[in-house]
Amino acid sequence: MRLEYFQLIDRIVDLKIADRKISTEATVPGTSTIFEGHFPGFPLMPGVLLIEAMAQTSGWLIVASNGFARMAFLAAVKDAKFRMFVTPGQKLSVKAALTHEGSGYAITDASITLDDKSICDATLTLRILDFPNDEMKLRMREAAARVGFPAEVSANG
Amino acid sequence: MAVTIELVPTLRYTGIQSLADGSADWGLLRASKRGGRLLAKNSKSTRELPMSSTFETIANIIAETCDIPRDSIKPESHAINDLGIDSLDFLDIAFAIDKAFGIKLPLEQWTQEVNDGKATTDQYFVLKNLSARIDELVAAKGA
Repeated sequence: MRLEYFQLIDRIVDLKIADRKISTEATVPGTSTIFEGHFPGFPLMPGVLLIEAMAQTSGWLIVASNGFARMAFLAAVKDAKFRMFVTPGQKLSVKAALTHEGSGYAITDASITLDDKSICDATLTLRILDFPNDEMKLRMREAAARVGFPAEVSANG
Repeated sequence: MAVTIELVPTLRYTGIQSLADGSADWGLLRASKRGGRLLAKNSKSTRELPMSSTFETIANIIAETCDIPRDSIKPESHAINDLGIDSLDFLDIAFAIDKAFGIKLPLEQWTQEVNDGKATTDQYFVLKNLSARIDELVAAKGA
């Protein structure tokens, strides 16, 4: 994770477009100014950032599914549950499954585990929109390359 | 990658526009601001037509999803203008309708048609018309 850049996902571990599933890896940094406030003397990864990790993972799955043609924006979070504390340095596994593709939106079931123990899960709604400008699309392609997004998918868009 | 919808206001996207207060809403020119559900204007309708099962299904979906009293949802109700449903709430309704009927409501196409002046919101969002569109989509799926 590069929290200061809001890059929650380190790499795509597994992407199965046909199965509409993705798995990513996200290691919580050992130090961050975030932990000075959350919480003093007891550093914990904030739950909102765990949601963001699930949203980014869902986003990569959706962008992969549409061949990098359109962007996904988080629109709703439902049934979010945080089952365990996450502390600095832990390596998280993030998974998302695309459960419904509507017109201009998608629904995913996402979860985070640590050593196969359930950390959190939620159902996410993402709006699917055209990239608002070429720069964003270019930057997202760069981010995609950084996390190991399959080049053949990225090249299609 | 995924960011909150508040970052969208500068988009030239046809489906969703941002209101002055920063909330996302329909790109349907006459946006119905949120805040207080409006009762169906036509609730005094004296002669009720026989209601289709499609209408019953979507009325129940809307009542449950948006916490709107079921008896205020009429076939003549406009989802946006009368019931005050915004685009995000309508995504929940669309999801439930997609699942219930095994279809994919073409929301983006409808929005485009309205924005292009080729259709009115009444054609898609007055519930008896929405029911008819759903029946057409179901029929097309079975064809």
